[in-house]
Amino acid sequence: MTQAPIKNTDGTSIESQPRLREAKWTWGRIWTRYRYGIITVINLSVFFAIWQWFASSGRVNPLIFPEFTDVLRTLKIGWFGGGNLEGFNNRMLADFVIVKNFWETLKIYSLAMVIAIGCGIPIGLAMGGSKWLDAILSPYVWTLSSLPRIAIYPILLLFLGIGPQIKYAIILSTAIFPVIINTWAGVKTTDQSLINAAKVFGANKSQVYRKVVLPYTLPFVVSGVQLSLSRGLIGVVLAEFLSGATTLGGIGWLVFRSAAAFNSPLTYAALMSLAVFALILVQGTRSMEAKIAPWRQATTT
Amino acid sequence: MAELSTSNVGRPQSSVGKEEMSPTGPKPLIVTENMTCGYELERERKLLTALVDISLTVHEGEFMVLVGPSGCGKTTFINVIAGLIKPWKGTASFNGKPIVGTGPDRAMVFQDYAIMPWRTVLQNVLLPFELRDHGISKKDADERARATISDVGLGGFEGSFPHELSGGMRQRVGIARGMVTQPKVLLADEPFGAVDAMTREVLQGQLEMLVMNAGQTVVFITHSIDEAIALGDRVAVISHRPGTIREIVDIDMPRPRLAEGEITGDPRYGELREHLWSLVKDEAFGAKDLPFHEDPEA
Ligand SMILES: Nc1ncnc2c1ncn2[C@@H]1O[C@H](COP(=O)(O)OP(=O)(O)O)[C@@H](O)[C@H]1O
Ligand SMILES: [Mg+2]
Repeated sequence: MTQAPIKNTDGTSIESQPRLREAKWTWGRIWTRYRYGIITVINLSVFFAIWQWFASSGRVNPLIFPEFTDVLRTLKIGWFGGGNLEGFNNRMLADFVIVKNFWETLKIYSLAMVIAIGCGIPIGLAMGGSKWLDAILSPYVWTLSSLPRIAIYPILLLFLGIGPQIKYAIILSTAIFPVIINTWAGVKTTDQSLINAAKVFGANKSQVYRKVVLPYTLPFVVSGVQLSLSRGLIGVVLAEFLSGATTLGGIGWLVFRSAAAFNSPLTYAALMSLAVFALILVQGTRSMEAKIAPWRQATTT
Repeated sequence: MAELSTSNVGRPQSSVGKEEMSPTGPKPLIVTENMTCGYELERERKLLTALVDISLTVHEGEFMVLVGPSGCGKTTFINVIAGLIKPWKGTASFNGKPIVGTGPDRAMVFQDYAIMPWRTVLQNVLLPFELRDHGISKKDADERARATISDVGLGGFEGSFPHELSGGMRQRVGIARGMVTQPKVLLADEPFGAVDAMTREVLQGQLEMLVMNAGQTVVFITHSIDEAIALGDRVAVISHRPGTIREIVDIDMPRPRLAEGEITGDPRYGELREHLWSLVKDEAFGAKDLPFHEDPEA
């Protein structure tokens, strides 16, 4: 249905008149509009200023807690190169060292996540859809998903040795279960009355699955994927901590090794890079569910 | 909105059916004989008997109303007729054949709406055409869906999602979906329960017109005795669980009962109301608790 354009009482279009007069910019207006941005900027500035003051006050060992300006310099060199490394704590620090390790991490992480999601969804769907598969697989799924994953590392090490395989194995073992379990839960909890409605109006088994179970499960899958993305990030850093790499072991490896080498600016710089990446990832996927399944948002409020 | 636009489009007129002419009177459409059914409670490993020994016949063109305390098995009965669950004992047949599954000639309006939250109003109402071939073109189906949506008072909301609608509006989506295929039998499970009083009156009036003009067969569950008297040809009062038919009351009042306005002034209305109320009250407050039956044969 197209709606008639709203007219003024004298018949003129409302559009032909100046709408709201352009409001004058006052400090009050700027504040109400940008307050969260302003607060965040002030907040972070104060945080880093206190950091800088505390680190340079001589109260802590710079090998443990570096000055913020040193971290910034390290970030610049690690990401964009062009470092003048003289007179600087340069153990392990080289041009582009952060960005190279970051790419290494991203490469493994994204491939492992594609595998985890690509296998987790069908496994969850199959387990939710078939009582037999559910009965057969669920003891393994529940045990492995409850087990602290690091405990299986020694076994994985025996099987796979040190190398990229073990990284994939660890990431997969941490990231796949949230996808499986959430997908399974979506299938299992599908509203019986929706299924009945579809049946009454003629749906056969496959139509019930395609037109009710799958759409109902989709938001569950999305939250499973969200959870699995952050679990996978834990997995990849853990794997890099444990990997025996000597160079280019990824961002987790860089954090671990630079700390071991007492290059605290590099440790903090790598950590901050990781934090920003994780933040973008989590914030990016947070809006995913609202976009994909707006009805769920509305029913939970 | 005087009359449903769906009312006389290509609908078989039951009143001219040849069975009607036979000396045996109107043709029985839904027949249950000594039907007992219930549910298997997997967790408790028990069988719950919901309905016992139900023998009920709904004739073609008849408006059958079921009333009874909650939990007495009204929804269960309608689910059996829809073909969603099978009786444990006894038989249920439709149009002379045992009911083995769902069918295009039986549509249902669900107590809890059961509309798909990821589909717009229009997409929900089009679902029956998507799932079954009702012998009309896509374009006609679309047109009919839009007409039905506007009949239930949702014109302009075709593109809205259920979560953007009120409870009463959602229920009307379910009603539109149930009526859009012009089914031979409409199974309506408390269809006006969540609808506001004014819309309810409009919808009741429309349903009555549909019954009068097109001979629509309806099985209708309600909590309201007034609604039962206003709409029903017969009212079956079901006892508390396990449900049995306590009494079937003929509503011998002329139609239209709603279009003319007040039927409540009619002395017969008062009598029927009192009678039904006493039956229902007995059942609602005299409920003995017989929750589980270990064995359905027992
Ligand atoms: N799917 C089910 N599984 C187990 N028990 C059920 C199920 N549906 C209904 N029941 C039980 O069967 C009885 C009859 O339910 P129902 O037919 O929904 O009653 P009504 O519609 O009259 O309120 C109730 O005691 C209810 O708890
Ligand atoms: Mg019910």
